[in-house]
This record gives sequence, C-alpha cells and structure tokens, in this order.
Amino acid sequence: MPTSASDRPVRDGRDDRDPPVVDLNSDLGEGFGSWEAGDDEALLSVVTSANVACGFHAGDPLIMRRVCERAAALGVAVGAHVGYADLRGFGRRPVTCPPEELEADVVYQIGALQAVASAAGTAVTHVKPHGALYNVAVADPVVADAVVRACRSAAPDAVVVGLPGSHVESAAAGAGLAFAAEGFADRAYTPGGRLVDRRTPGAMVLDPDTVVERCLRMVLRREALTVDGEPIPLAVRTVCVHGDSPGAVTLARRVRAALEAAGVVVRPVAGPGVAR
Amino acid sequence: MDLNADVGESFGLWKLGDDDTLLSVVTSANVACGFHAGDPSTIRRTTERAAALGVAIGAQVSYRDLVGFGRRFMDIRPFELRDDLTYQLGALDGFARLAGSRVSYVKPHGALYHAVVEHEGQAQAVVDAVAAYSLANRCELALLGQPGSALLTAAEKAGIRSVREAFADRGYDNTGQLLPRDAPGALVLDPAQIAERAVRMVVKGEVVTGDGSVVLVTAESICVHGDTPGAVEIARSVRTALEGAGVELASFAP
Repeated sequence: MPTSASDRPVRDGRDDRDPPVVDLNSDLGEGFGSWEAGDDEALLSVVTSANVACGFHAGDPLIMRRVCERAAALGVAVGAHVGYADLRGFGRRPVTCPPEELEADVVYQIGALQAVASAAGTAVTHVKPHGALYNVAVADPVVADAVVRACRSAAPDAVVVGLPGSHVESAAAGAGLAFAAEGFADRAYTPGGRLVDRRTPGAMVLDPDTVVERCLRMVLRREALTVDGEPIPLAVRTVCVHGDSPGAVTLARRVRAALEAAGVVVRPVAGPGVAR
Repeated sequence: MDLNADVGESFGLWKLGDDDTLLSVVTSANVACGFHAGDPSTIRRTTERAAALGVAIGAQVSYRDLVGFGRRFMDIRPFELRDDLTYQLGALDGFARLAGSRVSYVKPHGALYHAVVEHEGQAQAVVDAVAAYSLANRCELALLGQPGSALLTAAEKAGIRSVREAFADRGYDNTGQLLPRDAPGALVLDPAQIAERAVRMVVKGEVVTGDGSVVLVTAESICVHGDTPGAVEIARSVRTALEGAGVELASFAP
C-alpha cells in the first residue's frame, strides 16, 4: 500500500485542542429522466458535500441543475461524481478501457457539471469516482492516474475524494492535488484498510445504531472495524452517508446529530467559503 | 374486450410500476423495447411473466429517447423510424420466443403514439415496419392505436389488422377525441369513476364528455395506465366492473 498522507493528524492544520471536524458527503442526483432515486431534497438538508452524478452512470442535465441549485441555496459543496459510461449498470460494473479514454470521459463529466454548477451559482469543488471506478482506482495505479490527470486538467483546485491509502491518494499527491480521505460507517474494512467486497457476508452494516456508533468511532478515535470487529487505524476527513437505501435520510440525520452531540464540527472539505 | 397496459418500463436499477401485479390483471401487455425504457434483463423478465400468465405480448415501440422517456416528439425521417421500429420488434420478439410466446401486436408509445394520429409520414413508417416484419416472420402483427388516427387508416390500407383503443381514465371532447393532458377534466382520477366509464364504453360504446354530452367511442381494447399512484388498484377495479357487467375479457390478439 502506498504511504498514506492520512496517517498524519487530520485537523486541517488546526490546533489539537480545537474540536474535531468532519465532512458528511452523499451521492445525489442519481435519478435519470423519469426514473427517480433517493430523496435528494432531504439529504441536501443533512450533508455538507453533494457528490452529483454527471450523466454517465446516472443523472441528466435537468437533475444535475436541480441538485446544484438546491445545494447552492443550502450552502452544500458540489462535487463531480464521475463514473463509467454505464447507465444500465449504474456504473457498478468495471469497464476496461484505455486510460486516455477514461481520462477524457472524466474530463467531460467534470466539465459538464462545472457548466451546470456555475449556471446554478456554485462551483465544483471536489471530485469523487463512483461505484466500480471508485473501487478499481483504489487498486489500479493506471486507472487512478487517469482519473487524477483528468482532475488536474479540468479542476486543478478541486479536492479529490477517495479511500485513504489507495492509489488515488498517491496519484493525487504526485500530481499536487488536494486529497480528502473518505470513510464509510456502513461498511466493514479489511485489516489493510480496504473496503470488504459488498457481496461478502458482514460487509454491509445494516443496523442504524451500529452505523452511528461506527461513525463516531471513525471521527473521534480514527478507527474503523474489520468484519471480525477488530479496530484498525483510519483517519478520514469526510464520511459517506448513503442515500439510496430505505431509511437513508433518517440514518443520515441521526449520524449528523450524533456527531454534533459529540462536539464534532460538521462542515465541507471544500466549497464556497472554505479555506484549505 | 381486451385490457392493455404499459409494462417493462424499468431501466437498469431504476424501477417503475408494479408489473407482476399488473400482468395478473390485464390481457395484453405493451412491453417497452429499450428505446424509451426497458433493458434486456427487464424485457426477459417481463416476457417470461406475460407468457406464463397467458397475457398477449405487444411491442411498445418508441422514439430513441431514454432520458425523455419517449415523451418528446422527434422529427426523424420515415426510413429512420421504420428501421428503429424494426430493431425494437426484433429485440422484443427474440425474448418473447425464448419465453415460449411471440409478439402479437404493436403499440406506439408516448410522443410517437400522439404523432401518428396525424403525421402521415411517420404513421406510414410504423405500418411499413410492421408489414415487413409480419411478412418476413410469417406472422400477422396487429396495430393498436387511437380510433380515427392516420396510423390505423394506413394500417387498414396495408391489410394490417387495426385495433382501436379507448382510455377510461381520460376525458374526451364532443368530437370523440381525447382532451389534451393539460385541459381541465383531461385526467380522471377516481377509481370508481374510471371503472364506471370503462363499463359504459364497452357495454354502450359511449363516453360522457366534460359538458355532459354523450359521444360514441368504439374500442376493442381499454388501456389502463400502470405508472400512476394507485394504478394497480384502478386496473383491478376496471376489470372487476367489466366482469360484473358480464363482459368477457380476452386479448384481441390470437
């Protein structure tokens, strides 16, 4: 595993006596045409960063515009949720393609969202790969490099969001891009800090109380848990709350309330008015 | 009398409508062919279910417009439309055959349905695609559409069986034409009222318009919508009311 920048304390350069800070991000705008997915409106009132689908795995121009407008109104940071060109598979199927093709696809998606975001009075301030692209880029340096090259040319000031210790993180560091380590409170980790495949028993944490508890552990103690319940060190700046499952909005609200009750400051990693 | 409904309109992970239940109510299924909705796995599931229940399978052909759900008129050339429809017919019939059935009729979807009421070039393109497919595959596909439409006129000229349909949940004007969706009284929402209108259409061949006039409506199939709230309940109440009035329900297709 590449050397992890996230081994350093994650306090945005602030004093250790300051309260801990975390960003809550969610994947939004994942409907398409007449098909709906998730309660974007409700989630936007809970999270601090919105990963907006850019039309390749989900989302269409009108949905993108609506999410950006709502995010702008609520002060939620907008990021490009870039995926493989696979509407039918919802971007969850790895697509093998030459890196220059992938790079162009990612540039295209970031550019499209930038245009929509600026029309809505906001801007794209982070980029997060979606689904299969997220997972492939963790372990495949060629894919990670292609994604990061696209970010550097299309959105050099944006923060790249990804798994700590992944090739995405090292590629971003190599390209001089800001990186935000992301954690998942509803997923089990391998002892090496990777996500356990979602098809493996125990990979998905379904119980809301457990998800809340794991989120607090992640932010306050900088630990994640393996399938066997063993803690591993994991420092993250942003936590993903999923929006497309039943009860997602309630769970997201609970996560935020629990963090704030524990004295955690919830705010975007990047975005309008956020200094890095 | 036949009851038809649009089914198979999910796409990938996005779900639409309660197809399994609806297929247990209707006698003809208008299956989306991938251009406005539907994907191969959805088509497979839908045709298998329809075949198992003995529901006739129809090709719900559309403009190529996934994001617009086929609801936007496209000014494409007749040969392009013909070829797009041939493609959709072949795709659906492939799955229908695997399920032990066949496509037995064609119903244009959305904006295409409305376009071929008056657009003679596109109506002829639909008829050409259906006629050529029937000839090549030794079958006799019927065309389901609006009474008095250019489509059904062209179908009859080409020797294709034309099947007229009526909508129990839509308002009609005094000339017997459908009111535009945005006109007052265009959409009937009450299940009991919809069922009552269906019975009157089928038993007496008439419908009451907005000003209380009674106009004639001739139909061999009643369309029940599948994607509105309460759609399944409405379809069931229409079926129950028709059966209660002594109407035998069966597909128009052989």
